[in-house]
Amino acid sequence: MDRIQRALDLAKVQRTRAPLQGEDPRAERDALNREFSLSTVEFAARLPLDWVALRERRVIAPTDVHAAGHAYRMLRTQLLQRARADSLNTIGVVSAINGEGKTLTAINLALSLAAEPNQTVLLVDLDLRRPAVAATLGLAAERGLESWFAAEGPIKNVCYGIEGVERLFVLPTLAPIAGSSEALANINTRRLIGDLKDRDPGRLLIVDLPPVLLSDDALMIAPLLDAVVLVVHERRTRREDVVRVIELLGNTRILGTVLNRSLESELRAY
Amino acid sequence: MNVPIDKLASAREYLMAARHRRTPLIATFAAGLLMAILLALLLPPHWRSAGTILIEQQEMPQELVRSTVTSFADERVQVISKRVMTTETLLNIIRRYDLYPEERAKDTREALLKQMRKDIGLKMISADVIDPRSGHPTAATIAFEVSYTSRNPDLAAKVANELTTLYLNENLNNRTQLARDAATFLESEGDRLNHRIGELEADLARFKDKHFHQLPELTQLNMQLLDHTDEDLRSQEARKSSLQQQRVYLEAQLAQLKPNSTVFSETGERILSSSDRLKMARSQLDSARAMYGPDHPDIARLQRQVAGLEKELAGSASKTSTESVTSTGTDTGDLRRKLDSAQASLAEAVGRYGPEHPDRVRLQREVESLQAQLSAAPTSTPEPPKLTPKEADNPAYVQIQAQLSATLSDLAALEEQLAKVRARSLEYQKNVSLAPQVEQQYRELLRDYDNTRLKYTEIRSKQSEAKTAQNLEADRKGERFTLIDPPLPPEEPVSPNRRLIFIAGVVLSLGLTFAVLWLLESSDSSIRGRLDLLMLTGIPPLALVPHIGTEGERRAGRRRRQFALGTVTATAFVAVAFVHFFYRPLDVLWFTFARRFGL
Repeated sequence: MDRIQRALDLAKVQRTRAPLQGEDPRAERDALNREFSLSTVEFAARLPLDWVALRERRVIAPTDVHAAGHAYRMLRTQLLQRARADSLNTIGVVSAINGEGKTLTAINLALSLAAEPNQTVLLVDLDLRRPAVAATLGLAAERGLESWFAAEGPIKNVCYGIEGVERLFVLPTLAPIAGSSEALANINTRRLIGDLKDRDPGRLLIVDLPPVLLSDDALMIAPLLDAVVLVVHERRTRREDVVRVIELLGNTRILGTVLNRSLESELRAY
Repeated sequence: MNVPIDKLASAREYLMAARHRRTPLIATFAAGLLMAILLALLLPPHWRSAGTILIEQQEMPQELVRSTVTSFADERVQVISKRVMTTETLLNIIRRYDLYPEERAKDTREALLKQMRKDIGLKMISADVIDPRSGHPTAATIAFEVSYTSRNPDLAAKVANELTTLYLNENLNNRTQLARDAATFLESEGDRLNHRIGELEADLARFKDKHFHQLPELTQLNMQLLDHTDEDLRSQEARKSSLQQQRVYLEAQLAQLKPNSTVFSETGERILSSSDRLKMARSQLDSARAMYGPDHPDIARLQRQVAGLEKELAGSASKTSTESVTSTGTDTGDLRRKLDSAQASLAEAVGRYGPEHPDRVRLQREVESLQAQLSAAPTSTPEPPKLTPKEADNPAYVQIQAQLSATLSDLAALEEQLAKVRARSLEYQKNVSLAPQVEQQYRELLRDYDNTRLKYTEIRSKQSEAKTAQNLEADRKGERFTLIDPPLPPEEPVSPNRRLIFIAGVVLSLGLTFAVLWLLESSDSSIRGRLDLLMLTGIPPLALVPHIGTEGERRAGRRRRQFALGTVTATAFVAVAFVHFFYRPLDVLWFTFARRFGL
């Protein structure tokens, strides 16, 4: 009971805080600005998606009627509200360790966001040790961020559009980068994120980050981002790991958590 | 943030956890169940055969014949059991029936015996009865059961039979042995007492012999005898004193008489005897000496006269030497008397006259001469004149003398008799005074003897009882063991209880499953649910993404369900088969159900 009471109190505090921020005139203007801004993303090519195969990899198409689809829509909506309220452009997706559904959450969230009208979404795979976005989506990309880190060309060379999903662009990493820490420590990373972010304030960057507890990569990138979403796998992520991640992320804003593989479905018969 | 890892587990959470971990849980339960089924099916059956032996009470009433075997029946059964279960007996049985062939090949003899003892069962069957003697309700052992457990029903029956026989025989031997022991002991005890009585009797006889006169029975007699003797003594004493008086009297008479009859001359003058004349001559001589000098003719004449008389007397008394002695003795007495008178005259003369006075000188001289004579004369005491009656010729003298001598001999005889009586009196006194001491010793001996005799009688009577009891046991009329239920080959095994093992197996498997679930849950610190996450982070979860199923998973799920269905069907079939073959055939079961539910 005590636990429930505390949870309710927390929720109440958050609810009372949200409208106050929403009334901020500058944030209001930014939000309007973002909604009507045009997509100015330059990309190398538009690549097709095999939705049937994607379903087997648990990627949910915007049109699918699925309990998980509902959950991602809930996530999208809350994320958008906060992003617009606080002018957040870059949002990382982190987890404590690998295998907790971080990449899948990033992809499904990006797809879900892209389904929103007037919202351009860039999905960046910065998990340089075990890049998985391209493989999960089954993208037949020629070059990935690894080549950009190796020999800085224009970013549009590694940016791909998706056929059928107008406002989603993917910056995949095709192969693991040896010495990922050094590559990320490079000033280029800051420039990359800055570039992608500042090109258009209406864009939303979803960055797939490496597991926080397995390397320092995530910790290096996290300060460059506006906020992160923490992915937690029910009955797999350990409590002490979650606590440790929150400790490590320090000043980085954690927008919220996503509970994967939750046994409590939020979609009742509706 | 610091939420305890071990949170309150609600039933819902447990169900969720069980669903999440169904694979290990099902595996655990299935493994446990399989183990239980295998155990129930594969444990070898054991067959137990038992014989019941009734402990029958003595047929004769206890009041008539009392058995010497008094231990309690169950106690005796235990004793017999120990005797039956000896290493030798058991090994014999093992050899005879070829028991435990595998164990004999590899185990030690001790292990074999231990196994055998474990397989042999002894169970007391008791009934609540009221003890007829004390009236308290007690549990009396009325029978016992000897059993043997084996893997072979026939063998079990055979060995149980053998054991039963051993018990019966051992009881019989035990009882007769006990009765015989009692009888033998009593007999030897009786003999010992008999011997002791003989010894005591001999002692008593010896004692009586030694202290015959002091025995307490004779005290009265001794007293009487003592009285008599004392009386005797007194009369004798009286007689003695009268005799002594008589003697004194006779002596006095005798002293007045002359042994010789007085001879008178014709002139009527008494003729003096030689001795009288000698006496006279001597006294004349003495006075002459006092008056005259030694050469005076009177003295010479007197001397001659004395010498002549002495010669004459010596001649007459040559036969008896006593006369001279007597005369000398008489002389000495006279001399002393004379000396005394002379000394008295001298003393008077000294007082009256001067030293030169002739009287005084004469007296002086007389005293001196008397003293000289006295000193010359022998000092022996004079004996009374003893004259043989032969010589005496005075008839009065002779008569008195005869009376005197008769009195003297009477006195001597009396004296002797008195001494005897005195001695006897002393002895009687001693007897009487010793009697109490002797009596004490005598009583002691007697008491000892009586006690021993009493004990002996008692032992002898007991011995005869024991003899009867021995006969009772020998004729098997005492308490005895009767085999009322001989061991038969069992028709159903006694163990294992397959039903119980199966049920226990199911219960244990369930318990194990729960234990595994608890262990997995408590050793896993992963996130459980939305609230858990909220509590931990303080950030409300933005989304709860359920499991995203894929087509492949759905297919696999279908396959798994089919497999599970098959497994469950197979298990059910096995269970039904188990019930059919090991519990009760299904048709029987069906009828049982039908009857119970009134179909």
